[in-house]
Amino acid sequence: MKNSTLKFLAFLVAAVAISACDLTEKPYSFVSPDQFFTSASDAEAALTAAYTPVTNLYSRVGTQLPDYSADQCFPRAVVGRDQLTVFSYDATMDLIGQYWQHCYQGIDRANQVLENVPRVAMDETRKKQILAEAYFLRGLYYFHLAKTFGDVPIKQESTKDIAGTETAKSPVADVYAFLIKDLETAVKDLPPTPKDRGRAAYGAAIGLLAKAQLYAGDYAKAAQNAQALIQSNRYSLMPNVLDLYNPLREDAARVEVIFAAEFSSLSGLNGYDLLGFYAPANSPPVFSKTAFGSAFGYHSFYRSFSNLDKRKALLDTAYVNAQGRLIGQADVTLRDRIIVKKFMDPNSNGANGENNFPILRLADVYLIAAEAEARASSPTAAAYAAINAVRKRAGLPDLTPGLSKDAFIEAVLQERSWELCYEADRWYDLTRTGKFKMVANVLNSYYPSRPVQDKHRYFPIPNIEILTNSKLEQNPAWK
Amino acid sequence: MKFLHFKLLLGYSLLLLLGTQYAFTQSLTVKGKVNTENGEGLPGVSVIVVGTPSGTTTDKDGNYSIPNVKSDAKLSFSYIGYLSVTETVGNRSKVDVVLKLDTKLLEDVVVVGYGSVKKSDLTGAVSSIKAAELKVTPIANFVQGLQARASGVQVTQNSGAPGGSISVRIRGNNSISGSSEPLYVVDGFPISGGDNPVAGGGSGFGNDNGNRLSVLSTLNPNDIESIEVLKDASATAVYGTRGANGVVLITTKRGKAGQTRVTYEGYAGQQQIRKTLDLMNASEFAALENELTGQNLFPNPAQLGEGTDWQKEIFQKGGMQSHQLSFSGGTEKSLFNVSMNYFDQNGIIINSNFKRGSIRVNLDNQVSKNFKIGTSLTYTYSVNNGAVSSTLLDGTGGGIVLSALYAPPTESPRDAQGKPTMFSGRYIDFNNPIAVASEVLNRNTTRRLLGNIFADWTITKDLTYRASFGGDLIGDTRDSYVTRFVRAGATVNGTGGRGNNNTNTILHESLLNYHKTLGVHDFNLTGVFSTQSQTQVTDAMSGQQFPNDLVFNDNLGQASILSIGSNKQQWRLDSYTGRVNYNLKSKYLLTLTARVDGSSRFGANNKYGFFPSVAGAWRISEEKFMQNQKFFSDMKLRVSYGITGNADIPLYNSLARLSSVGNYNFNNTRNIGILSANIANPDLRWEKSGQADIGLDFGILNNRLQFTIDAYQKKTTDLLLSRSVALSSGYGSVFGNFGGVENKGIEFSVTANVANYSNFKWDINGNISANRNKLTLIDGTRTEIIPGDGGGSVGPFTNNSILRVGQPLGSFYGYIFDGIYQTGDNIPTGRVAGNIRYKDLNGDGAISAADQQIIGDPNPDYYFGITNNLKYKGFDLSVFVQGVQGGQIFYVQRLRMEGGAAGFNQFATMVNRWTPTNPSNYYPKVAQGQRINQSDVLIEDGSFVRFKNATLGYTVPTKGKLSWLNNARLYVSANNFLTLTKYSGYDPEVNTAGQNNLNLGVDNIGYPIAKSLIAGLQITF
Repeated sequence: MKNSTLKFLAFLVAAVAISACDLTEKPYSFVSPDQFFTSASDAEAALTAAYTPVTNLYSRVGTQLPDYSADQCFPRAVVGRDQLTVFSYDATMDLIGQYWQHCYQGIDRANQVLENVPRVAMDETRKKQILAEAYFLRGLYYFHLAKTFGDVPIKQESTKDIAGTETAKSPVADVYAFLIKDLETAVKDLPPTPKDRGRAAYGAAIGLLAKAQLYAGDYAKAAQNAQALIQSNRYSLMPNVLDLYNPLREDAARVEVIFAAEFSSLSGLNGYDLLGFYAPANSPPVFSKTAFGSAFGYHSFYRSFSNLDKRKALLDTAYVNAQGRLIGQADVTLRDRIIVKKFMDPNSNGANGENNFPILRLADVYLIAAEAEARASSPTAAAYAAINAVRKRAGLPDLTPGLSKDAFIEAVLQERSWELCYEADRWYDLTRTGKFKMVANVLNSYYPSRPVQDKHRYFPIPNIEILTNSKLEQNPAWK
Repeated sequence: MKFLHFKLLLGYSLLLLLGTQYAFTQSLTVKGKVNTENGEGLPGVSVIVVGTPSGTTTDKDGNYSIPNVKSDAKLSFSYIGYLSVTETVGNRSKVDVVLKLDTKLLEDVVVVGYGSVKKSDLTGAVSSIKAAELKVTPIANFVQGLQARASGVQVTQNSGAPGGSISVRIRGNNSISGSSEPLYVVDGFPISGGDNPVAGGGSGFGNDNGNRLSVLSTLNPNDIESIEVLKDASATAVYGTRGANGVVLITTKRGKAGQTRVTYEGYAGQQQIRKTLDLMNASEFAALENELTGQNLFPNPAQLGEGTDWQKEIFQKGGMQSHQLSFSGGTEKSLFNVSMNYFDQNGIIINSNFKRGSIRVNLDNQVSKNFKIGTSLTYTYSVNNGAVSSTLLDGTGGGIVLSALYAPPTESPRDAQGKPTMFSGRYIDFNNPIAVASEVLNRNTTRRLLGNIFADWTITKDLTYRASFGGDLIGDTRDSYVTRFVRAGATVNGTGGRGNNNTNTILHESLLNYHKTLGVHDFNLTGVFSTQSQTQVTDAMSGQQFPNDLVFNDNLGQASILSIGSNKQQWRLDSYTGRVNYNLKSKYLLTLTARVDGSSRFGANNKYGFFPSVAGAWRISEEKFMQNQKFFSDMKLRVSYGITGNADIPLYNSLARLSSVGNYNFNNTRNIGILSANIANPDLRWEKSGQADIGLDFGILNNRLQFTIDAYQKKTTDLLLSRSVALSSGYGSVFGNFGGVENKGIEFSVTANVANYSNFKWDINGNISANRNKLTLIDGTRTEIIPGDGGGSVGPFTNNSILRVGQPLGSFYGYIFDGIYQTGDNIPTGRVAGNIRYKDLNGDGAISAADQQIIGDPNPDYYFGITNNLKYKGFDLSVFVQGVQGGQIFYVQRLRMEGGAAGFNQFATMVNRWTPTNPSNYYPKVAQGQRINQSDVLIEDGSFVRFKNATLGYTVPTKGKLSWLNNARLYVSANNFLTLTKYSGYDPEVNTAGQNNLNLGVDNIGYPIAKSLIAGLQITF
């Protein structure tokens, strides 16, 4: 070969060697972990991400799972939601998996905040608050898991690699102990008023702590914490119970609403999606711009309200449809169906409503105080005062004095049912008190039979978790 | 530079020298004629006076004339495909020459990756498709022309929309979540064959698969000279991580030396819907509604008559036309091919169309004896107005066609102002199909510049080097708007957007080739370095809540809810390829290839992949013992094995990414949440296919009949899959290499030269292929993934198929239909007489998800294509038949249209619905809210035999009066005019889920395939 040829080949090899070097992927539209957690705004953005699952959970499934199982409302039998009502679901049901997933996503994100924010150089006061908010959120998510599933895995650290994806489960008592500790930590460092509307503050932490302690059976502490919150006078009941749910008055309602899933119809945020479910089909945009007619109240529940009860106006038996025709109970679209009017937004963007969904509000705390007080000792004057505060606002007379402990507790549970209906609460009252099988008698023409069994005390651990987590077995009732 | 100067100097000196010689010799004008062996004049032959710049080409009759030729000059006659002849002029003034065909060149040359080989030397499984076959049918996309033309290649037109999605499977489905589309290489430039990643800026209707466009429709089919499909690993391994799905090599037309040819090719025609579905008319529908609601919604159904035929309202006869003008020619030193094309197709659905304008410039220039440069360059501008065909525009209505099926025939199509009516009352949730067509803007505009330049340097006699540089610049704009006449627009007061997607790819290749013959040994060594990188920048903006529908998406600032987004991503692939072709005595052939691919997509632990292959061929017919027989004129046995990859990994998937994972509403403003979005997988790598192939090529009766048979087995492992992880980790899945799939099959093709007389010629080409596909591994944690239980109603149509180890990809899953519950039957609670009965497969007394099983398989048993080409004098007739046998179709919409849970229009068959007095055991009663599940009753035989094309042409004799014409042919062709099938839907060639690997053969009502009638003209001057 000629000399020049050899030179050329040598040049070629060199050129190839130079041009082929860097095969690392350069990120443009996201950041890599080593670039993050360097500033206060990174810490805030991380905390925001830990809040997101709250709205993910409550835009639909957080309500659907408990409420369609209970005695207040039922779904239209589409895409399998009726399985909840007739208790035909098993561990493969998608809604069960979603509930679980939203909670654990929140937990992993809270863990990331707790692990990384301490090393961020920033204002120490705010840093403490951020960590306290993360503890609150982790406690909140675990509370949802404990009351819904019972024994669940306790993840104390974020997931970093494939090997770290599997965790064994812990007994429900340990889960409560863990989350109560988180909430106690949060109580210490959270400010009395939140930095921004929508964030958790001291009241949210101590109120949720009281509720968790009630569920866990620590009635004395539950009563003590609930009373502490009531006594703090930071919150008060909205004078008109109907205003509580008006999306245009959601900031005014913050006097009562202690913590909520903060929905928005703005783009890029989660809107409240169940509006369209409660809005009867072909209804005018009074309920919601999108109306599916997918969930209605039971007649029996509607009839349980006293006519004096202002809260009864949150339910209805008829509506005027888009063509101006009055649709009553005789019409095929409303037969055996009560319209739920608690969540309505005439200004919704499609199905995205502005309505905030209350997770904890003062009325709930009053009733926690009443029940915990009675359970810890007896229906004391303080217990009566607490329940009567709620009854008074509803326009009801005071509760009959001198009730037995059991009768009083029964009255509180009934009051909870009216006050907190459709707020994802009733089913958990029924399960924690062992009364849940009463729903077998809550029937109508759509659901002539509801064969609830003991195993429905808790929902099964989602099948996908069983398949993918070798350290975990299905809870015995669901095996 | 010095070198160049020297050469120029040398050139001038030679000229001077020759110039001095002229003075001493006589000069005369030489005329003559160049004939073929048949005695026909041969046009375009280049006639050159050796050693001088003077020369000419023969005219259309083969005559030439050159003035001032010296008597001692030599004339060289050359023409591509013929052996060159050199004649000394002497004292002749007329030099006639006969050019003989170059039989060596006559043998087909097959383009393979990074080179070409003689067909007889081929060791791999390669199918060739020539331009003439490709263009028989009027096609927007050259991929359509591949359909049924090559064995082992299954082409499915997923959508009948102009320019719509199309999928190609070479030897089966190789992937679950990655692409199974082959790699396309245009003049050496590898491009993606995936459907267009439609730019964002959506507005209520997503970029679902069925709505996608084929990115390959941006290439003009008329520019293509030939297409080679590389099928076995020996052929594809040189494409390494991109070879596993097969490779389609596209070679565009280049200039040929000789007379400049001007060619016009054009056609115009019309398409229309093949068939319409039989729906209820207004009075039938009204009666059904009364029965369903138990109310007198329509007091007198019989009076309503036929009502509105919504299919008639949305389908149209769509005109189509194509015009191609090309200029081609050049000298031995400089060749050109320049073309321009305009293609315009109106869809068979109103307001859908596809327009494309393109130009191409292909140039070759022999700069010096051992240096050549060239270029291939094309620019395309295409506009697609897409019908929203299969997407769900909102929760209830569908795309245009689905809307037309659902729309109540009792509603009127337009109001007094001619605007589409909006349905009200009971039907408020349904869209007027006309509005879905006319009140929805869904336009895609694509600009594409694809080209490369190359330089060939012959370093020594045996050693050549080619450097090429190329670029593929695609700009894609998506415009969308939905007005208030459509539900999705009405609920949000108009929604619209605009998205831009700029994808720029650059490529460099260095190719070194060494060819040496030593006695009976022939070596051909090829080494390639290539580096390709792509940057994609997308941005999208969309808005809702517009003050009015007047400006559509041209002033998004007017919307009160806005959303914007942008993204940038980049990948790079560096490759080192080597190939050895060894040929011993032209009998024993060996090909060894190896490729190392380094890709940015791979995880840090697996940056480079190695892809070797080996192939051997034995030309049995060259053996002595074959010389004494006359029956077999040719016989070659081929065997190959190799490993290829599929690196269709979504970018950045191996890295831990922190991004906006969700926002939260504090203070009624949007706060951005940023945290980890995934679990990193540094082990991420390519999908790996090992393929063995054994093939036999043989010809009998002096090659009048030529056969090719191939059998193959392809095992793919490391399938990319999003494997579910424990949800308690906070994540749903991790992306990695988990699954496995196997394909095996047999392919057979035949070419028969039935008759070959001067006035009558008849050729038959046929091919038939069978492939069997089987999932061998999901992810180790489970053996099946069951689609989400649709519950009591129609689940999303992504849930029709199951992944189960041991079964083919795409297997349908559901309940077994067992008639209708009759009055007096033992009916379980929740059901009443007239409801559908499903089989209780596990015998537990209840119908639950456990009572489902595999109910069908969309993969065909076999598919074939047969072409007959006949020529009689000036007439030519071609009949092309395509067939697919044994595949099943999941006709999803029958669940709604024959399910009984109506509230919208139904198939006409529902007049036979169950009633107490008409106890049908097939059609259920109508009742709202009854449970209907996907069951085997929805599975239909998708087999079909289609007369894809019949073309009758006439070549006008150009002698005499028309002698200014070189060639002229007129033709008419009928396409898709006859389809034999039992399938009850629009067309058995359907795949609403597009190129998706798992949802094959699902008919959720997309854009139906049309039939067309066209007339065309081809003229060459």
